[in-house]
Amino acid sequence: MNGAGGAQRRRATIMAVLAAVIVLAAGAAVWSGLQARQLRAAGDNVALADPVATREVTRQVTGALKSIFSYDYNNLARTERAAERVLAGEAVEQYGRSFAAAKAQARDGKLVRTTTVRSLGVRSLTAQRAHLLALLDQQTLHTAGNDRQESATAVLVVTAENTGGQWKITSLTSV
Amino acid sequence: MTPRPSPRPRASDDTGDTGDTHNGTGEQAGGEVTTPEDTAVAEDAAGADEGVAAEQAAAGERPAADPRALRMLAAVAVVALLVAGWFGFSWWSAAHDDRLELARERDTVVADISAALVTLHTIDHRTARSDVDEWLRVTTGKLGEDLSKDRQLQLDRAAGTRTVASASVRELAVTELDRRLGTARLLAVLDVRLGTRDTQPAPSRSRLTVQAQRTGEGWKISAVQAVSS
Repeated sequence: MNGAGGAQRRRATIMAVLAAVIVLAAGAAVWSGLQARQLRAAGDNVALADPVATREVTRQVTGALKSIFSYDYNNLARTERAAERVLAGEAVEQYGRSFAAAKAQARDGKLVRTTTVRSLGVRSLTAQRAHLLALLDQQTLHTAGNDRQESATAVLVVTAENTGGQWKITSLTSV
Repeated sequence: MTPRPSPRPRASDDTGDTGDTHNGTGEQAGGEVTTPEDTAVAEDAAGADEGVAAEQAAAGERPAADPRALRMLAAVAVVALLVAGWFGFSWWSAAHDDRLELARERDTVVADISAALVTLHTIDHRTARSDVDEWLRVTTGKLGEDLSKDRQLQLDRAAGTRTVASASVRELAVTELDRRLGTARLLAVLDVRLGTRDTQPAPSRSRLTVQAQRTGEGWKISAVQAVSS
């Protein structure tokens, strides 16, 4: 009886230990899984976290904003061509409305407007979509009025979408 | 769950008690692989304490089931350990991922500075003392120094004009982030509501460029400048 009982008891011990191992391992798996998920949550948005992608979208959107908000009364077509190239979706109409008014003004006052991007922040960035906040400086030269110069700033919320490597602006909102 | 020593008080332990009874029968039947003890312990492990009926049910299929149960338990334990290891590695790698660290730092900057900007645009002349102390809490560097030098001036001004101001952040984006230096620049658009003794509270829009610095108590504002429009 002692031999068999001893073997059984050993087996009982092993099973108890195994059961404990299972419970502990399951607990550890759940805990670390939750921790990992929490740590990775921020990673869905790679703005700034992926410096290469961030620089690229910043470069392209900066160029796009400069080109569509700069114009010369003598060559308004150039600005329109730029808009066709870099705008898509909702932004086409949003921009079209404001540019129609600007065009008339530009012709009347013989305006030359130069826009630069003073600062640009990428709020969120994924492979397909970016949300940005841009601070623009605009210098407007009234060539019909003694070259009087006017400056203004604007802050825009910009949405851009990646279409095969090219970031196109799909929404523009002044805030 | 630990195995009990052989000689045990019968009256105090009914599971063990039935176990012993079975042990006896088992031995008579040939002293083979009778393992009522195991069953008893396994049931203990499962949190069941069903007593004789369950024991007897288990006793019927005992010789085949028991080693199999042990093997299955061992297999489950191995799988559990592998899964735990996998998630553990996932946790470790997430904690040591540079990109994720940057992403988290970015989110921390946004959260801290967002709250700090609201604080810095909040004052009520009736609670001016604690409001201005809050300004000092959320600022650092040059701005913090300037504000603490001007503390009395700010208090007098708030009392004199009976200012009540509040704000909410409309847009905020980090434009630069240097994790090593612990510095950041941001662009912010705030909706501010400001009223004084002479003016009704009126909403206005405030566009700001902000410099931030990491401190022992999170990110704080070291400079803030209104964008002229």
